[in-house]
Amino acid sequence: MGESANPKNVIELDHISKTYGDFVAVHDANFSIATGEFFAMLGPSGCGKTTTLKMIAGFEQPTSGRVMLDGVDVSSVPPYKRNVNTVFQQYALFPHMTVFDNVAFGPRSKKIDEKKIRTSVMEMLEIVRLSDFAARKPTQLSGGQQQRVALARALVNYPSALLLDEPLAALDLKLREAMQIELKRIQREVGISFIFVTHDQGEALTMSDRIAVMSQGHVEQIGTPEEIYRTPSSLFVAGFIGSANLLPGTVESRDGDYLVVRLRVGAIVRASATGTAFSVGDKVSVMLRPERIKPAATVEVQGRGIEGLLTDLVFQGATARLIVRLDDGTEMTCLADSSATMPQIALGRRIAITWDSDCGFVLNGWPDKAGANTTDIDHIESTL
Amino acid sequence: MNDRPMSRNMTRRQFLARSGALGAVGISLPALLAACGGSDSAGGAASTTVSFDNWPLYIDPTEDSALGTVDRFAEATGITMNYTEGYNDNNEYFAKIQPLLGNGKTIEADIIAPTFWMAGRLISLGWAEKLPLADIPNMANITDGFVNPPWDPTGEYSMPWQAGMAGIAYNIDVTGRELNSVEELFNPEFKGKIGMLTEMRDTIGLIAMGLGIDPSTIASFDDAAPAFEKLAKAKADGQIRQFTGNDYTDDLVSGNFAACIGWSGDVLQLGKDSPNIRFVIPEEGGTRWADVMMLPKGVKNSANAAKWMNFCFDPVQAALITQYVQYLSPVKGVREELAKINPELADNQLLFPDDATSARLRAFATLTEDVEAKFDEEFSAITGA
Amino acid sequence: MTTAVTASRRISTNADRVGLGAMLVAAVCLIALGARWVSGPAASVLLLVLALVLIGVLVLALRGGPEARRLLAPYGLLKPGMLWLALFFLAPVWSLLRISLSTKPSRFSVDYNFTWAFENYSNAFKDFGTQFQHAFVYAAIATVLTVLIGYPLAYVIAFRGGRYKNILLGMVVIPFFTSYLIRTIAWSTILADRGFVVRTFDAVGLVQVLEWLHIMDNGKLLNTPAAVIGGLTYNFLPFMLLPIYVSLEKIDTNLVDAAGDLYSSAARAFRKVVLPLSVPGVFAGTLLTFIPAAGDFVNAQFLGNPNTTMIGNSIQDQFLKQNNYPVASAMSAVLMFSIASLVLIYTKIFGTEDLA
Repeated sequence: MGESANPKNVIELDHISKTYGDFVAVHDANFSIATGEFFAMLGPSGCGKTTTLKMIAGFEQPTSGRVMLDGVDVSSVPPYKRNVNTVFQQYALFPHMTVFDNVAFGPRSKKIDEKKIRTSVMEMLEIVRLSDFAARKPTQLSGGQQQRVALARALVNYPSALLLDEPLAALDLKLREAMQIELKRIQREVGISFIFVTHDQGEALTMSDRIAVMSQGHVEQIGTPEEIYRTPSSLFVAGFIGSANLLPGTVESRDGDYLVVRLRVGAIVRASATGTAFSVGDKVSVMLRPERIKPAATVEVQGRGIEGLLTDLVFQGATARLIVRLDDGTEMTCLADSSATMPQIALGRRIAITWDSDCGFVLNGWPDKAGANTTDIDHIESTL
Repeated sequence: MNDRPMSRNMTRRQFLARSGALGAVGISLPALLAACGGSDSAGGAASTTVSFDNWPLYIDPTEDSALGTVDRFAEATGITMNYTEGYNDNNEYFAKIQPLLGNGKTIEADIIAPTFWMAGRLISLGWAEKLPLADIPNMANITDGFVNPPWDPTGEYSMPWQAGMAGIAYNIDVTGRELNSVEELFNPEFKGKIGMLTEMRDTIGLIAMGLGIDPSTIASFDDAAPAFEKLAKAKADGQIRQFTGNDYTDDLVSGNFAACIGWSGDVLQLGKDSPNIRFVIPEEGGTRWADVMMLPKGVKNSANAAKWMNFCFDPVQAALITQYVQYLSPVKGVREELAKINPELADNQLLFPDDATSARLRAFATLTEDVEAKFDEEFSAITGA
Repeated sequence: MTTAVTASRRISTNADRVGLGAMLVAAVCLIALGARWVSGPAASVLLLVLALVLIGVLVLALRGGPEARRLLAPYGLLKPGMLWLALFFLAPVWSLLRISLSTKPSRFSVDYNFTWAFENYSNAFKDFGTQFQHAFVYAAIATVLTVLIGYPLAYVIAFRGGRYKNILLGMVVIPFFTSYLIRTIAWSTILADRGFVVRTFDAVGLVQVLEWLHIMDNGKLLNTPAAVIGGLTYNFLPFMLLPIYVSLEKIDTNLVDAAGDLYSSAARAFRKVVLPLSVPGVFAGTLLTFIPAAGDFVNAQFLGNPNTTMIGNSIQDQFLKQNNYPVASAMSAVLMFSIASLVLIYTKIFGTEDLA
């Protein structure tokens, strides 16, 4: 970032912050979004993701820092002069206008020739598959259709970037999944950068090229879904993205690319680490994704397993969910192939959980609550 | 005529004038209920009550430990008077009692206080009860002019309450000079700052006198037509600011009116607090009027009503009333009694006009029903309301 | 009700007929009583019929089982409103129309003879044409002014009021807790010739300008057409402001953001989005303002002069002072019908069927 704008970047946020009185909504967000990228801003409510979006759209002005659009500083440019468009959370369709007039609203603002407007509006309705509904009023449409009208209304202007504020939140689960695919299709078709805000990590992982995970106004991590999933930069990211077993411990020694960690529960395990340099004695946590660990009768390789009591076994179709209580009471979740059951693995039996050495990932610090984040209802709710 | 207050407390006085205005738009519910609430219970000889519906601030109230006439009456006779102030406008009051008296029902009040011409109408409609004259020995004290007056030629139906004069009231701060002619009301100098009364007989009567027409001799509409024409032209020209009831006093004091037609007692009172308010019987002459006491048809307590009238015609009592209301008393000997308690008032020309002044006053003629209808219609067409 | 038992078998199918019939009979009875078509013993008979019909339906409903009750319930619920309307609207309107076509046998008569006296109507037009004109012109101007003043005010409160919204609305509404008359009379003090307003205008030299604009006349602000219109505007402002406020308040602010997002300046966003969506409020406010303003007499009485009288003043005068009920009724009827037709035309032109 900085002064030299990268022509490949549609949007550059140059150290922007937003404060309301004492409350810091966004603190020093500094990242850029490339042309044609599907970019997600993910975080729990109140993390500052919507504020960031509004600063890009122009509905809010940053307290400090700059918003660059196509290489131009637009920090103090009003929304109607910015070449970005927004799909609002509740769609904000104009109730007194037909679908056609809604979509034509932007081009008409720009005073484009009505004939051209007609063509491009119908073209866009074609893309969102609503050509037959042009004469309807928004209230006569279903939620998914309204959503697509909102998309068409924004995309018909061919903006540099499309901003979507929780675009799928108002839809039910099935429709949401279908729309995720539909959104991806449309994005590929029009080739415009999509920046969307969501609190749903599944949605973000499914759709995005890159994700910015935000918490309490800070950008915690930016990366591809895989990076963020595999190598979260913090306990927060680890816990927020997918489910994770977080086991607190201290660094015992270094072993090549791996760290040897003595867990608080007693076991000594090996786990990989990137980025942060750890030294012996640091307080760390080992993250184990439930689907990467396997149940076994005993720990066969030293440092690649831990033992505990199997307290619950839930058949889920392709997988089975195992809850294992460790000796200090910490609960771990394990997702196992449901066809690979063993007679030794039964409720109430003492079993082992094992993993390959590159499965464990070391994170700085200890979690508020050790073990699986999927068993803590309060935690789950806080991420919604 | 309207309320004739006598209170040094201007705010109270104005408040009451305003209440009058509220009543004027026809929402005076209690008064309406009072007028409609005729009860059927026969009074009987032993009744110790009587009711009197009068104009506002038209009697001395009990204040500062001095008993008012109503209480003195109760003390002297043991009769409790239910004294109400339901009158605001003769026509309006008539509209309220008409459906009852016209249908042979009775009204609540035993004594009502119409102005002389309205008294004439009520008598001719047969809506008045004869007075038990034998029970009113003090009627001997009534001034000659009020004995068998034109509106009640046989003197069997009405007794005078108070009388007064209409002339020109003006605010010298606004006019900048003394006025002495009816013609001044039509002076372009005061365009849009002239007030006229909704009381047809005072407004038309005074204009007629300005034109040299004697209102006491008017018998047909043609006789008064020039006065109507003059008024209509003045209204069309924007000379007249408003037609008002008693609330002309507010506009006069505030300076909205430079001059208007007004009533002697009001202006006498206003003059005390606002020396810039003047009253004059114009050189062309002024009108004279009287409000009377009458018994509506079917009255219940006529004997007690007679006692009340008798009480009021005692010069001592009458003087106390006059001291408060400051209108012309129809009772002989009031001036002498007043001289004892308030010598200044006893010498006032507006309370006790001398013969020369009296000679310049005229009462509006009694109109036949058809003529009156024509007058009212034409007057209403001009006042526009 | 000896027929009740046999009737109860059929009422499931006949419930509509029974319910509707009973309601109509009851309504006609009430109109007849209210409009005094009958009097004396006949009225007692009618009252008895009314009571029997109401009790009869009640008995039918109680004995007819749940199905009958369910079918009759809507009529039962409608009845208070319908009967109220019959007694306090239809009956008076009937009486009004009847009296408006009557003549009085003599001036102070309390009776009216129904004589198809259409001349009452021609007289109303002939004698009070100016007052009708004043009423409609003043009310129309006042309505336009209330829109011009009320709309921006409602807009600011709805969109910029924030947490002071209720306080601001309260400040608009609270003065109107005082009596209508008192407020109007207060204006006559405020606008008096030697009052604060006129003196201030005089001091800053505004008087000449206002005289040139015909707002002031000969140094007067009070007792001018402008004062009457101003009084109407002031007194009916809340009736305009509140419906507009409600319709503005309902508008999702995201819509305004969306319009801005779609390249509309604030002005265009207002014109294309906010204004159309608030039209129902303006429409309702216009009706709530114009209709009572056209029939108003208080403002003209206290703030006007003899050349600004409105039809309301004339009707009041004819009713309460001249005792001329026939002409007064004819004038009321004309006022009622002309307002009704104006409203109909207005609704046809500007009525918004899909925005409620």
